[in-house]
Amino acid sequence: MIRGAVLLAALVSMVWSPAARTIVVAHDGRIEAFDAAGEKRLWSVDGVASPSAGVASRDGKTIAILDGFNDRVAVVSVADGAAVTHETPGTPVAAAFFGRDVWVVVRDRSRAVRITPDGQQTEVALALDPALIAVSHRFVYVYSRISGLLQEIDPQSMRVTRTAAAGTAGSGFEVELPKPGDRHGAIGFLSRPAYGKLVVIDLEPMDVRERNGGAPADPGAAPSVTVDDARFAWDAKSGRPVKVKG
Amino acid sequence: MRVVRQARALCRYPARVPRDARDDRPGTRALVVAAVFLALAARAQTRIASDVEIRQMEEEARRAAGFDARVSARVNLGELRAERNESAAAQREFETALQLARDERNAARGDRDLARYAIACAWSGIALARLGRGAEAFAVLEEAVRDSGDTPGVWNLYSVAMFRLGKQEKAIGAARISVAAAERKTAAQATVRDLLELNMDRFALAQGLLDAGEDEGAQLLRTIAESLESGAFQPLRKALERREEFQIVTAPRTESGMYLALFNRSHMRLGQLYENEGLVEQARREYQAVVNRRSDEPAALAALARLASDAKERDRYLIESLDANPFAAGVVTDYEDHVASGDASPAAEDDSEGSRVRLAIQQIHRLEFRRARETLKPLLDAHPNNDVLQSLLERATLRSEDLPRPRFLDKPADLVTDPTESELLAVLSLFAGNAIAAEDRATLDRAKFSSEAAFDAADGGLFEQGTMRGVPFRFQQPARFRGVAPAARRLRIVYRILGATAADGRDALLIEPLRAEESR
Repeated sequence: MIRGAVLLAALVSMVWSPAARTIVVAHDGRIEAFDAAGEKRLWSVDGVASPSAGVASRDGKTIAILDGFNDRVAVVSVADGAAVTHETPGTPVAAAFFGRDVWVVVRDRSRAVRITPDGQQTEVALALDPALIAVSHRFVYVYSRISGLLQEIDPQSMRVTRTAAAGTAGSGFEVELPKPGDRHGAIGFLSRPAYGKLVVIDLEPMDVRERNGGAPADPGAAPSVTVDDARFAWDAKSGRPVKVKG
Repeated sequence: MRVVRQARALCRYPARVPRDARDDRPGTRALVVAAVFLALAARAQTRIASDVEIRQMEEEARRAAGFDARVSARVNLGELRAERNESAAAQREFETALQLARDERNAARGDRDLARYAIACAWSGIALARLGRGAEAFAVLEEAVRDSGDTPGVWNLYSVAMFRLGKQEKAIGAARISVAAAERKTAAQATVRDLLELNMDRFALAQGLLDAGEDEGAQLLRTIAESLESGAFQPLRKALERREEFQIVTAPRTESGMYLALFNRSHMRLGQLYENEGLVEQARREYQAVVNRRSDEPAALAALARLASDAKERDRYLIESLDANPFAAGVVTDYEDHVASGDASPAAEDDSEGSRVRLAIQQIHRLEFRRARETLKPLLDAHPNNDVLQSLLERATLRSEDLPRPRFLDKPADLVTDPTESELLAVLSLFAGNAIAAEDRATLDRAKFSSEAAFDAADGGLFEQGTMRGVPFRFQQPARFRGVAPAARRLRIVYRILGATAADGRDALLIEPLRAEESR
């Protein structure tokens, strides 16, 4: 399962890279890496002023930290903390990696911006209020909240190829890739907690079905990451991630 | 409709605002958010709230039932304090609003009530933005829209907060979303309240677009103005005329309050727009529409003063504007320019704060600083934290550092002929502020000065006081000059400067006359 970026309430962003077994924390203008126990600081570099979200690449080698207030995204090597900061043409609210490119959703401009490793930016126009992003092996999917549309983008042609109505006010979107032997393709899951609904989208035919339930919402939960079934949250006092209950 | 200033017309918030009948979300009460208004970016002062009105609003805030009513009351109070240039008091109100919103957030989180939680987060964002805590405001507003992303009111608050923080593009982006959400809500069927909220969202978007130089903003304003004149609002307009309601607040909660605020601010903004484009008649029509509905709207009156072609008309509008809000910095500046032009009618000292401020400005212009300070004193006693009054007081205090150092202090001469106004004022300020250095004092003791002096009427043939280049002076003691007729008023005098004194309530140079002759 590939997760899109999750918006965080505090000025702290945490990302877990399973491949590198590293917890990356952006806080107070710094980006720092810790081991899986949260005890050993691996590196610490200058970051962004107001981190608002973060996401790891599929291979776990790179992370992107968004600064929604200041319209910036920092792309950081998990191995050594080498970071490059890019300005975005509006408020970056979510991001996902497609290969080595980072795709950033820019809400004010109703755009997705692809940033290549050499820093080139290419924009794709989207529906109003793009908010969530996830990728399959072939496509990038962006969900626009107020219009309730899920749009499929072909990264080769940089065009929106298909659009599906998925319902408004979604707050979480994930794409589950097919496992070997599965008869279905990639499946998208969109939670609409305000309506108590979970929307399941079979992405190959773009078939949308809705069922009751939706993701349980925990408003105001502190930023955290899950490492081997344990939840870690940032502890400003000790300056490291600490294991928390629940 | 002519409006009389009276406290009884304060907004009264309903204990419970109507539920959104078409909300289909399970397990939550309908989202009801009072949209918050953007204040106009420039020359936006509204009628000053009197102390009585402020106290009534504070009482309302204390009595208010429910979070929405209490937090919006505190934000309104904060904005009113800010309009009165009482920044410290405004900050306290916004801090109170923030605390209320935090408590509500915690309670809603405990109840797992997403709708309440979103509203509380949005109000936190407003309070944080007004406290200048931008990044925190952004974070909490993102929290607000995360799970309630199709609620127009939450996006409206988001837009207002970003506007306050100077994040123009974010403000426009959020406003576009709020308009889209409100249009969706009103597409099939709309109540009067729905339409008012849609227009408020449109106004926020128009404001942002106009500030960004986008023409689309003007069209939106015209759409709002047309909508307000439509049949949908006819019953509300009639009700407003019957009630003579006029209070305009930042976060209106009643339908009449929303209508009034919308009417006022959309016409004001259109007026500004036309004025900036040099379309004087169109601008005047918009400002006049505001004054017709509310005769004591200071920003509209000040605008009409700016557009007046006749000096008397300008004088009248400025007087009315300052009577409505004597602490509006922009209008005070306009009035200072008006006084400097020589067209201002004499201000009388009476009980109104507006007339006192006008009098103080005129006294400062005449360099009657001591009198100006006396005029300002009761105002400062009543409004000790008012920034505009503090600024006027500062200007009514002679300060030597504001003036260039007189050349004769650095290059002493036996006789200094015709010292300039600036030099005389600088010496006066050094003495009046007890800031004169011993060596400068010694230089002045040695120097003689020669100036043209205009004397007040001599008393029994004795000359005592007058002005030199407009700077007041007074003799150490009344003097008679040989060969000078008692009726003479303009003399060339040779004198020494002794210090500072007062002459008819004005700071004045204390001088010792050495000789005098009638000017030719």
